[in-house]
Amino acid sequence: MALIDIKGVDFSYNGRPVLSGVDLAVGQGEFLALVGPNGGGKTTLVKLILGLITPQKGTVRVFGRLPAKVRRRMGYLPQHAPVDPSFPVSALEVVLMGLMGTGSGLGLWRREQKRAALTALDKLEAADLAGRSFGRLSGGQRQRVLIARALVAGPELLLLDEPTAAVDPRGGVDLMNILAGLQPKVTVVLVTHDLGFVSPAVSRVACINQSLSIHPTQVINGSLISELYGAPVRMVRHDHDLEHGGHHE
Amino acid sequence: MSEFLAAVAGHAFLQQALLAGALASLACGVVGAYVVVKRISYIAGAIAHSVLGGMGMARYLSVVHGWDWLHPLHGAVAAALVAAGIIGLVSLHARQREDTIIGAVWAVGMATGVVFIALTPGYDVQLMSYLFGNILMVTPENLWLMAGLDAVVLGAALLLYRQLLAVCFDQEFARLRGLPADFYYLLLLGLTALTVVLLSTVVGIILVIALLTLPAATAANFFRRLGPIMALATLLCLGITWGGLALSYGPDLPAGAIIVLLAGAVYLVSLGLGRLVHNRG
Repeated sequence: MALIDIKGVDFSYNGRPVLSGVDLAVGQGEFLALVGPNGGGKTTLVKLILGLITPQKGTVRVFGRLPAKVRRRMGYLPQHAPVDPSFPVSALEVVLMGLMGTGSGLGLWRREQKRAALTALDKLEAADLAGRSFGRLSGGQRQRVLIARALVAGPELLLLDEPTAAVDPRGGVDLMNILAGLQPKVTVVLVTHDLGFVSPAVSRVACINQSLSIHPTQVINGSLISELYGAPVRMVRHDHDLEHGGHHE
Repeated sequence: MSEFLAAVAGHAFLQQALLAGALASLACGVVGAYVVVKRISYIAGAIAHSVLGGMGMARYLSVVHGWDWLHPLHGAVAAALVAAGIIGLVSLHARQREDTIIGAVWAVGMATGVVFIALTPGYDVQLMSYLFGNILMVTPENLWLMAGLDAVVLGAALLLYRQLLAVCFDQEFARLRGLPADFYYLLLLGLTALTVVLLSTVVGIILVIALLTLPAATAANFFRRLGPIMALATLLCLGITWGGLALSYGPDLPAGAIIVLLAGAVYLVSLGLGRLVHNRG
């Protein structure tokens, strides 16, 4: 059984079609990249998988159930995370918020919860940020903390919406390596419009621009992407090898 | 100052005023910190002004219709909670209309109060004390009601610290974690409403927004965690209300206005000091 099973989904905002006839099945342990132009429906598809919105036509099932019923089994990194630099919260507290809804709910955080949050930060190689103010971190550091927040409750499915958006190229490659290390225990769906980060760790690429087509990572090339975006696209493949000048265009 | 201290020792009304300031400060520091970090000062302002409607109606029913048991503070609590509920539901379900509703609740609440006060004999004195507060008129009965409100507000705000922090920081993520985020948002507005009522007894409903936000905003210039901000804001609120009372007593100035001016001055000084502290750190 597919972990994510989307069949014949149509979705429109105020009468404007965003997705039409979308079918997608994602298996356990996969690392799927969801690419496409801005406004192509990537974030909408993620919101459908999370059950934040429901399709006008078609079905979405996650773990064989309605998405809203299984949200706690999913981790999520939103595209636009809160970045109020004056909000008085530490990186550790932000990660701890990923444990909301688990265990006893009253009072302050428990010791074992703090330990779990530190472990999640450590997985993202960001344990040293624990005591820092979240608002004072760099874009890349914030992304790591927010991914740790998505991971801390031990999700089986991780949905990351543009995780490399505010990250420099080197940081983005590091992040992809860390995500690749989570597999096969965690199934990862990664949304990006930055094709440079579609790395060998990704098992399949779903190209979405209202409709969806699936490709193995190897066949992603300039002409396919140009066709998808409807305009010539300059493609940079990083190959995880920036230190050695491994840039191919 | 010595004149004030001597007066405190000799007059029960001043002792009650100091106690009222202390009770108001407890909720002020804790809930004010949530209000400042969630940036809902204007919602608090609308709730505060709508309180006049409840106070006016309660006073009218008590004087004109003989409902002796009904105190203006009861009306204030009811009006504040209704206003918080209306604004909260609109904010959750029709966000694009939020500012309109905040303005409407603000003005309609005041207009309702003005009409009821006009219909009630002896309205002018009451109106001034509702609008600008009169901490020197606090009765032992008021103090008990304030203590009860404090218990509710502090109990909820501290026991549900994690949930309220999560909702203030990222409401959508809290919802995704299975937290009833809408409920906690409405609860936060409810706690804000009760705190507004508490503070309105000290400085009146026009000035309440300043006392609710300035101590917390001052504390936020020195700390980057919510817990210490709450603790410092509570102490500051206490110092400011007691200091304002003392400063206003000698020259016989309105205590509420002096308290708010003092809160403003402390905030201004903290802006400079806070920058100094962080530049060093």
